[in-house]
Amino acid sequence: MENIQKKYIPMTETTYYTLLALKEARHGYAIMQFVSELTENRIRMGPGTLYTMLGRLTDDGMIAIISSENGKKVYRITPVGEEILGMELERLRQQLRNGEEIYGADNAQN
Amino acid sequence: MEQTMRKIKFFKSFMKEKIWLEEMALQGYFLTNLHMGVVYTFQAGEPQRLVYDTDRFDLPQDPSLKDIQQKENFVSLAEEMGWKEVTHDEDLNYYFCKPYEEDGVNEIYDTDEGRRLHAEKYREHYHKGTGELICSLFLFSLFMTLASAICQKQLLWELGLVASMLLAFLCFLGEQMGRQVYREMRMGAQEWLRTHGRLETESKRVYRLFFTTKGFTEFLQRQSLQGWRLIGYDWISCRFEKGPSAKDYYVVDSRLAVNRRRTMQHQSKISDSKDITLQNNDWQVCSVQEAQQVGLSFVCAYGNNQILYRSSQKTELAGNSRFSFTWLTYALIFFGSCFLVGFAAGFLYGWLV
Repeated sequence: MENIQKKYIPMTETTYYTLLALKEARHGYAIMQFVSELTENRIRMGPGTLYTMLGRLTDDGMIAIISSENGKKVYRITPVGEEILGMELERLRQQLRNGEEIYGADNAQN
Repeated sequence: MEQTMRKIKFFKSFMKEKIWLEEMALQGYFLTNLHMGVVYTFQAGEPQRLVYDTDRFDLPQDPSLKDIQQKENFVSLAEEMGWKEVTHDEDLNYYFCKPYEEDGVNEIYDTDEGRRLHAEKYREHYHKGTGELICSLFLFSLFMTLASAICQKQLLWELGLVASMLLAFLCFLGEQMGRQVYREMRMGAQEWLRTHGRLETESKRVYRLFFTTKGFTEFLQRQSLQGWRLIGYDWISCRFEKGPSAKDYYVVDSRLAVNRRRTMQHQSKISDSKDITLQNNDWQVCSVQEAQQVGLSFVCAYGNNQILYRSSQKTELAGNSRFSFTWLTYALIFFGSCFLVGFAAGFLYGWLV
């Protein structure tokens, strides 16, 4: 658990959004569609990127394959993945808070 | 109308190959097959803007189930995302293509991390290839030496020598290509196109050899009058970028000149007794500082030998004699003297024995 924590926190944006997408069971292409819709096309993923990431997340037990029909695998987040995602959310909250404390006030005045 | 076309072409660069394949698709020729990395077969059709990309699926020594299934899994995922497997060559490079999408992802690996993994796969492959070549080189020359000793035929030994030289050259080429492929893939297509000046600016490459530094800088000066500014130099070729024409002055500085200057100013010479391979670049640090003071701007450095500067005014860096030579002259002198020494040795031997 500690190792996984070290590996995934802070998390890359693509990993973060993939985990968000897998709150519901989705297959590869659906993950990419969900992510690009959610981020209004800001984050897009090539098949190589997505493939390596899904492989690694599965190996680390962050997500699991729940079904596999003619090569089309369906993934879903695991409790471990949810826990890590929760920690990452906490970290992001702090990051945002710190940023606003220092720069947010200035921006409000401008 | 079914029409196929065959073309033979060799690319050292995957990016150049990719660009070429994409240009062919724009002209209505689509890759269908590839042999030995040089024989390309195309099928004619409606012109279309496609993007090509390559990937490898090498297995590790002890593949896991996932490793074995990786190609199948990857291809099915890629197909869902619009990529089609085109073909592969004898070196097991797999070619994929997909219609170009203005707002879509036009490469297989589009993140920095993905690109690194992709590039590492290729580097690993080339590294392995070169290693295998070196082993076979060793075994081969051993075999030929033994064979020539047993058969008492010198021809075998000579043949072995020639073949070994060829193999050694291949090793060198493989290592070079591996490094280049790594750099390219690490960059990604967009970045590569940007740095290689194919997108925005006009550029050209001129192959030319120079004997003296003066000849070199004067050539560059003439080019600058036509608006060509040097952006890179790699021993045999100069890369230029088109800009407004201006008279630029070029200055070459070297380790020797830096030390000469320092002696003139009664400073200690830059030397490092531990530096037997001449890799220490303290002189470059010193040279760059001095050049900045006289208003020269850095253009490029080649190897750890010389640095090229540019300025809009005639500027001199003391210590550079008017007749300094380029690597070509030194190489000629070196080989010439080797030849002479060998010749003299042979002559002496013949005379004595």
